[in-house]
Amino acid sequence: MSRERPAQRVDGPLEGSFHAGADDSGHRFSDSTIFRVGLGAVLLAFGLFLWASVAATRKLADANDASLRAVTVLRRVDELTTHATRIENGFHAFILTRDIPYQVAWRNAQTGAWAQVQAIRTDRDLTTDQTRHLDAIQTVLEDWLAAQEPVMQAVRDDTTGAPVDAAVLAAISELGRQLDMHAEAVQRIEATRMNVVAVHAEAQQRRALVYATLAAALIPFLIFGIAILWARHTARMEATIATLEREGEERAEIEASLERLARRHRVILDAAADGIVEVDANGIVTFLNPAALAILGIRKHAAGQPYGDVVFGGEALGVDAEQASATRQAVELALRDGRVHADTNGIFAPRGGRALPVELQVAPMGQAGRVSGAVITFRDVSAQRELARQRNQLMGILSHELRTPLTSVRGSLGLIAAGPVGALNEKGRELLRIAIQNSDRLMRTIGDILDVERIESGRFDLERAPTPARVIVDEALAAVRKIATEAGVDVESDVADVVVHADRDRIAQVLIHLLENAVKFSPTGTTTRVEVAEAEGSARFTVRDEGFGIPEEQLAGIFDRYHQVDASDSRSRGGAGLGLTLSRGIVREHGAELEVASAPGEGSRFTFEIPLAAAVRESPDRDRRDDPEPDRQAVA
Amino acid sequence: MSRKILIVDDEEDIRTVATASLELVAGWSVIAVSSGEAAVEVALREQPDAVLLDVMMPQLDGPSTLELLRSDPVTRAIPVVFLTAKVQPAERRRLSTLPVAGVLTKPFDPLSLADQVSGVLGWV
Repeated sequence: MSRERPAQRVDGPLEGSFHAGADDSGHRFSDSTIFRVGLGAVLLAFGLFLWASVAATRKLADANDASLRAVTVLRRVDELTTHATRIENGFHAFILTRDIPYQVAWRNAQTGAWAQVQAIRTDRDLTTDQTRHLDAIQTVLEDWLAAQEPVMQAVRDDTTGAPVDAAVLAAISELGRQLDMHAEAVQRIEATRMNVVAVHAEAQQRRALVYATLAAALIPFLIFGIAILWARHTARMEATIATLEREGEERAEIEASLERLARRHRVILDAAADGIVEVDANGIVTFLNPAALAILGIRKHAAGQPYGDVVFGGEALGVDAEQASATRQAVELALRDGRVHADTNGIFAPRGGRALPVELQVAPMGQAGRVSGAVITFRDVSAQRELARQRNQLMGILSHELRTPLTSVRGSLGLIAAGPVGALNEKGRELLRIAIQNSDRLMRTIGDILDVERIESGRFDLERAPTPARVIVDEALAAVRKIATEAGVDVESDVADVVVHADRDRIAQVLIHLLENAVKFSPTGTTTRVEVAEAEGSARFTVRDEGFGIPEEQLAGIFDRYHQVDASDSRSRGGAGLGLTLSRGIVREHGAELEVASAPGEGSRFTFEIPLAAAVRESPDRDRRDDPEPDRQAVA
Repeated sequence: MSRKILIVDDEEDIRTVATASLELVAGWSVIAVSSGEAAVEVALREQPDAVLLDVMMPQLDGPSTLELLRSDPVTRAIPVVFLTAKVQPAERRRLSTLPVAGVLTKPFDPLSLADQVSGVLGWV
């Protein structure tokens, strides 16, 4: 047994609750993805902030460094021009005064100037223009000094005090002016460079600061978003955990229910009086309940053995091979066609045991049309079979030992009544009439008992053939005419011109029973009618009377064996109470039902329907009795 | 037309009634025996026009007696009618498949027994 419940499934770990498929809001992206992207964005923003901050610092440092170098260059150029001024002052002072200290100062200033020129080259990556101007400075300085040197020599060596040539001095001055001009150019370029670096550094720094500011501004928002997502994530986690816990509890409850169910099934199987055997699709026994072990006389468990070996493994005497084959086939058929098969006349021959009469039913198991095994339920019917045998024997005795002497009695009476053996006086004829009447009644009662017995034991036999309903009704009317006349009951008929597919004698027997009953239980002067009408492929037979009717509380039991409407009836009206039992049995053997409608004082109406011969020809199934246990499709 | 009938039944009363019926009502000549063995012996000797044979008899039953009669060339052609208390159609059908002229059932009407036998044998 399984309880229907919605399929539940948890996909993956807890994180699964963040999958788009599990999100009932229908979001395209899951929370976990958004969370990861958000975290990445925060880290990116933070990285951007760091990078921008570092970049700004570095740019500031670079700008400072460049400024320092530029200042150094400017300072050295100043030093150079200072030394140049000292050279020029020393030169002019010496040629005016001829004092040696001025000459010494002039020389020292040269050394300083050259040192500054050299320092400028090494301290700074000069631009092309700067280099060109510095080269020019160097050349002009050399030329300038070279022009001053002979003048200084000449003044020192001159004893006359003659003045220095003005043109020479002018040329020297011009060189000094060029020297200043180039120095200024170098300084101007350096100043420009310094400005450019400063401006660039400032721009870089500003940009970096903007980035850093943006990143710093973004970070709180991102952190806030992540916090919201994290809260949502946590809430869903908690919901998922709660769902899982609930499902776990439900699962535990279901498992407990299944366990209780299994225990109950085990108890039922153990308590069952019928043997229950389970086999797999190959006919291998997989389970036997205690009753099966006991009935088959098996001490040890037989699971794992072929079913045939378990129930037919013995060599019991008296086992009908055909019967055993049918029993064996019930299982094979069920495993093959997936339908329920039954054998009410089965036989087992287990090892070391006697032939075992059984009734069994084989129900296949499986799903989706695939048979995975079968359950065989069986019971030992030895006692029932023996009882049936004894009953048959009794019926045989009844049939032979009662009918045979009655045949002699009735035959003798008939011969006497016919006159061939001599004439009787009036009293003798009256007694003979009584004897014949009662022997006929006894013969009918015995016949009815035997017929009821045959119907109930399934040995009743019909000879159905197309027969006009009129013929059957006329036969019944002829049989009851005498008692109807004696009872003063008028019997009428209204029969449609139809041909039925029936056992003529047996349906006539039913009508005779019904008409005799109607006559017996109707007051003098009433009318009993027998009607046959066509009704959808059948002929509806109706016997209706204007008799006393049947009390409602007795209607349900009137078809029971030996039933009398009341205790006095059997004495006053005769009959063993088998007529309606037999009539219903005969009608049922024709695949129909005998129905009654009656009420006290309103008479009774008995009806049944017999197939028309034409309908049977068109649909042969109508001629078949309903199978009390038709094959059922296995339940998947 | 007078006929010679052999009645075979283990019940003496049945033999008596059937004999009286055929003799008194139809005026036939009747020989009655109580067993199958006696029936074969009498049939060989008397050559009856027909045998009215009971089905259920101790020792040699009706079908076995019929087989013996059919196996002997002298009695092979004698028509046999079963007289049986088995009234179920299936049983009657089974008996009808044997080489017999017909099957009549007990109880029989003594006044019409001769007519029934004649009808089955085509003597009408």
